[in-house]
Amino acid sequence: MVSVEQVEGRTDYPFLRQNSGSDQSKDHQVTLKGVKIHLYKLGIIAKGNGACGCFPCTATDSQSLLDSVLLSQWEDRAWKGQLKYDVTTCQTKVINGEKKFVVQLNERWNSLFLEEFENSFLQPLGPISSNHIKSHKENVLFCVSQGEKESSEVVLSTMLPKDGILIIANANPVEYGHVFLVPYNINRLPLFLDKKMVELILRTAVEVNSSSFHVFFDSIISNRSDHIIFQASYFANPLPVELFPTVPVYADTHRTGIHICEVADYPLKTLVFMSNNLNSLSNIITEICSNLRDHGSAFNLLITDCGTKIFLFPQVQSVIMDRPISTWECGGYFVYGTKFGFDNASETEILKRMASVSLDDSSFQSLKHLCCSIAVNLFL
Amino acid sequence: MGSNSVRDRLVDQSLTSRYSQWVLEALDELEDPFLITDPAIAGHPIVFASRGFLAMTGYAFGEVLGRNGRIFQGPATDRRSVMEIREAIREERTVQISILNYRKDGTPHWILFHMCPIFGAEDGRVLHFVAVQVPISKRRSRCGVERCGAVLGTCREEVRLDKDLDCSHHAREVFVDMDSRGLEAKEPQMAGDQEKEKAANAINCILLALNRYSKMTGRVVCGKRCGSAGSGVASLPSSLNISLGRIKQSFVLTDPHSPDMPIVYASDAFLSLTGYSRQEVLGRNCRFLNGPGTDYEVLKEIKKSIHGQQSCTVRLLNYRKDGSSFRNLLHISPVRNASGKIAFYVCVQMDESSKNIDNGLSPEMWQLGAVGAVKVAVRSLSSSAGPSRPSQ
Repeated sequence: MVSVEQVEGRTDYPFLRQNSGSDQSKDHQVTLKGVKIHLYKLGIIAKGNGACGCFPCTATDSQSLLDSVLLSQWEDRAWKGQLKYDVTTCQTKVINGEKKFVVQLNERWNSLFLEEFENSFLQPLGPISSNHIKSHKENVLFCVSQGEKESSEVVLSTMLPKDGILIIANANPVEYGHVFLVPYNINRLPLFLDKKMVELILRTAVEVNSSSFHVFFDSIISNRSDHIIFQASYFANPLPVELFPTVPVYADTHRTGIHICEVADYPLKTLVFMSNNLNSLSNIITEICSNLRDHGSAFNLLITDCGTKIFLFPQVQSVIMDRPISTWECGGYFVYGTKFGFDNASETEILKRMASVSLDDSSFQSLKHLCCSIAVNLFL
Repeated sequence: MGSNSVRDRLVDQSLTSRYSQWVLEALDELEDPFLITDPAIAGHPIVFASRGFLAMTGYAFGEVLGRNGRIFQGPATDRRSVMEIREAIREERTVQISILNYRKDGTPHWILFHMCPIFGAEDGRVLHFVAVQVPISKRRSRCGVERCGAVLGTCREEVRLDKDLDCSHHAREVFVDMDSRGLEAKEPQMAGDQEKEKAANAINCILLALNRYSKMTGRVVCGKRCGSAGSGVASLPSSLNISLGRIKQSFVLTDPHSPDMPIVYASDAFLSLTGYSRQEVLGRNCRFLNGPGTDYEVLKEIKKSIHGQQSCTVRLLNYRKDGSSFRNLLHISPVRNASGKIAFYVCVQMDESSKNIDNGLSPEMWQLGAVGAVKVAVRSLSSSAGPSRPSQ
C-alpha cells in the first residue's frame, strides 16, 4: 500500500534536461518526499561468501517472509478488484504431443499490457519520481532494497529508499502473482542490466525461495524505453522448457561454480546458466547481455530455481510473426485470446512459431563460444 | 512450539499407525540402504532409515528422522536429477536415477536412487515413498548423453573439434585443471544392471513387508494405485500436501463438491490452535468450531460469500476442543485449479488475542500470504483430486 502526501519537491534529473531551469540540487531525497511504501530490506550477505548459502528450492520447509509479503499484497489487490480479471478462472491445458506445451484461454488477455504499463507508469525520460508512484499507487505493492542488518526485515509504511526495486502488480496477469519488478535509483537512470541490478533481482528470487516463482526479462521491450522492467509470476508447475534434457557446454565447479548447458530437443535454441554462487551468476549474465545488446541481438531471460538458474533465449526477427515472443512463450507457455485459438492450439503450430525466432546452428555455436570465453575470463 | 512435538509424534507414528509396530522390526532385517518418507507430514520428512543406509552414509537414526531427503544433496549434485525426483514425487510415480549424494562427513558418492510410491488400497492415496539407494561402484565413465547428469566426455569431444577457437582451448584447460581428487567423484557414474537389479529386489522386499503388515491393521497398502473409492474424503495428491505443508498459518481446505463441504486438509497450526487431531477434523464441516457465543449473522455472511463465490473476512467467536473460546479473525476465499474451476475453499484462522506475529507483517498480510500460497499450489492441479498429470 502506498500513501502520498502533497509536497513541493524539486524535480531533479541531473543527467538530462539541460534547460530545466532548476538548480542541480544535491538533495535528491526531496524527489521522493511524501511517498510511503512497505519496504522489504534484504539482509547482508557475509563478505567473502559469494554463494547465496542456500540450495535450490525448496531450501527451507516453510514459506519465506518475502513470499508472504508478495503474495499477500497481490491477493489484497486482487480481492479489492484492482486487477482487470481473475487469472485463476482461466482454463489451462497441456497440449497433446511430446513437448507438453501449456496453453491458457484468456479472453481478457491484453497482449499490449507491457507497452501500456511503460507508457502510463514510466516517463520516457528521468528516474523514478513521486509522480510515478502517485499515478499508480494502488498497484505499487512494495519495494525491495538492500538493508543494513544481517537478517532481512519488513518495514511497513515507510520512506522510499533512494534505490531498490519497485514491485508493482500487473493488472493484466499471465498467471497468479504476476508483478513488474522495476529497479530504480532516484539519482540516475538505470544503465542497461548493470551488475548491481541483476544481483538485486537474483537476490530477490533467492529470498522468495519458492520453486513456483519465475522471473522474466524481455530485452526487446527494454530497447524501446530507458527503463529496465523485469516481470515475475508464480507457475506452480515447471514451465515446459525446464523439463527438457540439457547437454553440458561448460563447467567450472571450483572457481566460479558456473555450469552452462544447452537445452536439447527444444524448438528454440536455449542456453542455461546455473550456479549457487550469486556473484558469479550475476557477473556472467550481465556481461553476456551487455555483449548481446552491443551487437543489437534480442534475447529473453528466465530466472528459476530460486535465483540459481537462468535460461537465455536468443531471438531473431521472425518472418511469420509480427512481434517477438514473450519469455513465458519461450518457456513453452502460450496464452490464447479466443476459444477458437485455444481449442485448435497444436504442437505443430507452436513449434513453427518458436523455430521462426530461433537462432540458426552457426549463430548459436558462436553464442556458445562467446559465453564460454566470457565464463573463462570472468573476473569475480 | 506445540506443533513441533505434534509433528515429531506424527513422524514417529507414521509407519506404526499404518503397518503396526512390528513393521519396524521387519524393516530392520532388510540389509539394503533405503529411506521411507511421508508426504502428508509438513516438510515431507524421513520416517524410517534402514541400518544399511545409516552405515552407508555415516548418520545416526536420530539425525535423519524427521529431516527432508535434500540433506544428502550437495554442491555437485546435478540439479536436473533433483528436479527429476521432484517431478516423480509430484506425479506420484516411480523413478530410477543415478545421483551424487553426500555422506555425513561430506564425502560425495554416487548412488542409484530408486523410489516408488506406496498407495492405500481403499482410496488410492499415496501414503509413503520408499527410496532405495544402491551405491554405484567406481568404473570408467562413458561418453554419450544420458539422462543422469553432466557427462564431461561429450564436452571434451566437442571442444576437440573446434581447435582453432580460443575459448575452446581455455575450456579444455578448465576441465583438465579440475582438482583430480574431486574429479573422480564428480565424474558421473552410470548404474549397471547389477545395481538396478539390487534396487528392484530391495523395493520388492520392502513392499512385501509393508503389504503384509498393513493387513494387520486392516488398512492395506499396495505398490500400484488400486483405484480410488468413491466414499470418504477426496484424497489430495502428495505434491499438494507437500506444498501446503510449507504454509505455517492456521488454515483448512474445504471441498465444495462434496456434501456438507468437508475439510480435506488441515494445517498443523490449525490443529494446535483448536486442540483437535487431524483424524477428528478431516471429513467434517467447519461448524464444529462454532458454539453458543458464535454470532449467527456472521455465519449467514459467510454462507452468502461462499454462495457468491466471493472472498470475505469476518470476526467470530469460535471454540476449541476443550471448550475454551477465542476471537477468530477468519478469511475465506475460493481457490481454483488449472482448469479455472473452484477446487476448494481456503479458510485461514487467526486468534486475535495471540501476539504471535513477530515478522513485521500485519495480521491481514499474514493471512493473505497464506491464501496466496494456497492459490499458487492449487493452481497447479488439473482436477480437484489426483495427480496433475497422468501417471506413467
